[in-house]
Amino acid sequence: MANIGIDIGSQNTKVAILEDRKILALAKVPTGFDQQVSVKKAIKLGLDKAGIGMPDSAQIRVTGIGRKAVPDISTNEINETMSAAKGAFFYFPSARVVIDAGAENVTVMKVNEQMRVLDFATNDKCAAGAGSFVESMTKALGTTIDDFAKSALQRTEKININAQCVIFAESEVVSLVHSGASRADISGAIHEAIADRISALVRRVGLEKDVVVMGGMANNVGFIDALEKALDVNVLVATDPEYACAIGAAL
Amino acid sequence: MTEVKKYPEEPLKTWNKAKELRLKYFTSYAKAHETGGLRFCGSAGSLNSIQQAFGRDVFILGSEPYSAHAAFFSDFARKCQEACESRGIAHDLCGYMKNYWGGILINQFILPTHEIVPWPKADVMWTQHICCTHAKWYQYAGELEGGVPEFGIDFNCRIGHTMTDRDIDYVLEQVLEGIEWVEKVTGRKFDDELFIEASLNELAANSAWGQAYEYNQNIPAPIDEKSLYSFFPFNILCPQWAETSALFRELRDELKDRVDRGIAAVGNERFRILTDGPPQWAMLQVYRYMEKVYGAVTLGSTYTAYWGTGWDVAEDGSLIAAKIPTREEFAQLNREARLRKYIAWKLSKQEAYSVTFTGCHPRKSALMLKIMELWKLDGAIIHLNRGCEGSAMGVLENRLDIIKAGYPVLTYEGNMGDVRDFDYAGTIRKIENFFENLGLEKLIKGG
Ligand code: SF4
Repeated sequence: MANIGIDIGSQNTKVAILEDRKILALAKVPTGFDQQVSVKKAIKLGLDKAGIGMPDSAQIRVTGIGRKAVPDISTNEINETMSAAKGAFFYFPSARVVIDAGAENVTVMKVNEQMRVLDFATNDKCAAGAGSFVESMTKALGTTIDDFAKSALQRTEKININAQCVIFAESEVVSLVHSGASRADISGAIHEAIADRISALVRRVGLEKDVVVMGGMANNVGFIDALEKALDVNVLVATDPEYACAIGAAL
Repeated sequence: MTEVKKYPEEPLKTWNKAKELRLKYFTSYAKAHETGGLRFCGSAGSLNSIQQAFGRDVFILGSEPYSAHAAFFSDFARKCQEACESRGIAHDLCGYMKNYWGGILINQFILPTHEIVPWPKADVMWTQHICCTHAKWYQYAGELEGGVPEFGIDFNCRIGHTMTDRDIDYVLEQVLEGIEWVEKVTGRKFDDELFIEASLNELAANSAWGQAYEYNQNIPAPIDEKSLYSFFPFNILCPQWAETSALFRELRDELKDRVDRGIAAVGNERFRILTDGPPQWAMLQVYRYMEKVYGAVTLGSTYTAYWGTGWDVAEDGSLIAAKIPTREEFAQLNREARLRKYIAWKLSKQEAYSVTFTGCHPRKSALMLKIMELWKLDGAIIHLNRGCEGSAMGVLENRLDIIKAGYPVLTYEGNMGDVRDFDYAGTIRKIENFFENLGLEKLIKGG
């Protein structure tokens, strides 16, 4: 019997359809303003991909920051730290620290071997550690997220982004461009700033191996490289990191 | 849905008396000039009885509790905050101070009835310095009000039960100088008889608060933190009034009666919480949410336990409501010795000044852990308060110390004076994550 996990994030709504812990389909659509509509779209996309019909509503579970917005689709909800822990364990049962870095929210959790969340820390009212930060810097530099992330690995000179706020960081980036800094160095500095913010959250819950990174930011090679340097450990990244919470909800 | 034991609940009988006293307090300050009285203003609990000794018609405004009360009316507080910011005052200064300065700037003072009256200009600023903001607070307030004379007393950070004779002398010398100063600027004389009367009331109120507070060690707790917030400010606003000690004694007796009869503040109580400094005043409904949805009751804090309360700290760190001197003990002394005794009592029995507002985190952690043990608490919720550097200093270290002792801790961000720094939906999400990760199911579907 298939189960559907839905993760309603601030930017994308992700759906994971699983049967006996096997992924049948993964799908995502932009969340937009109307979560009901985007959830329906994402479910349809997933079901089409999986080639199955709509299961019973009891088999649908919702998580993420928009989870309260769709009570007529699923009354079953699971909070985002629990779904993240389950998603991380699905890929890596050795996970002890889980970093879920999405577009607006970053949550760092400490979990035990029974998958229980022992402690967690979030970025609160600051987006400087999240994906939207990278996105806005990418826009300021007129490039794509992928190119921007890769260019961080080509960094030759160490420069710092001092501002902690997306808006101020953007004007700092513009000043760096005008002062002749290379895109690679600026990208390196931005990813380092993000990694510093997130590693501070990791230290708040306590660094322990293995560290698993999930959420859209886990696809960003520049960020992963900077995070490994900031934490001084190798981190584990799932195959489809942005779906990990949806998978956790489906389990 | 989880079944939990339902304790009987009853409304607090003394609640309305607290409401009446609050209205009387703020109104009498606002109207002081109508009867020829004087307005003294400063940080709350700046040795009130000394100020009261300059006349029964001296009305004292504790500016932090006033600003907290203003914060409760979030639209009004927003106007105050924005008035400061449009004058170029930085957003991240003390949230209370900005509600106070903002009130002067918009010439509005809010009463508990929500009635807004013109800003009542102070005649004298008499204050203590417990954090680095205070001196500037009243200096600038005085300037904005067109020039108000200010006297500041520096409290050193060793106050609390570790205070030494030298520390008492340090404060006493400033007080003696301050008395001369007030006599000069007001033309009034310090009245020793009035001081004795006021100070005995004050110490009795502070001690009765401790006695009332101890009843929350009971399971179920007879009073919750939200209600404690409505009573405890009198410890620092007008403890020198006879009504305050009477109110606290009545509250104490009522809590005893509730404990004897098993009456709970929250019938669903199943998880007992400690919190720390000033909360997000405009969003106290988060406490209600925790109670209703999870049966999690916040029933104490370093704020309500320590600010203004008279505690004796036993060898093992236990807290016992402090004994107070008798009238004879006070009356037989000369002025200086009497002031010394009063100052020593006030400062040695009140840990809050030293631990809540000076970032002395090992002592604060120790006190938090002691309350957690004695009050049989299950976890803590700490406010990462952007609005008060004094009470926010060291809180992340406190968090680590409490976690190390085996208790779960949730943190949330906010600003006690300014709701614009608070994310209600985000905080509710955190609360849900916190309790559900602890295995507490919702008592109400959907929450
Ligand atoms: S202790 Fe907090 S409330 Fe008091 S003046 Fe300092 S910052 Fe403001």
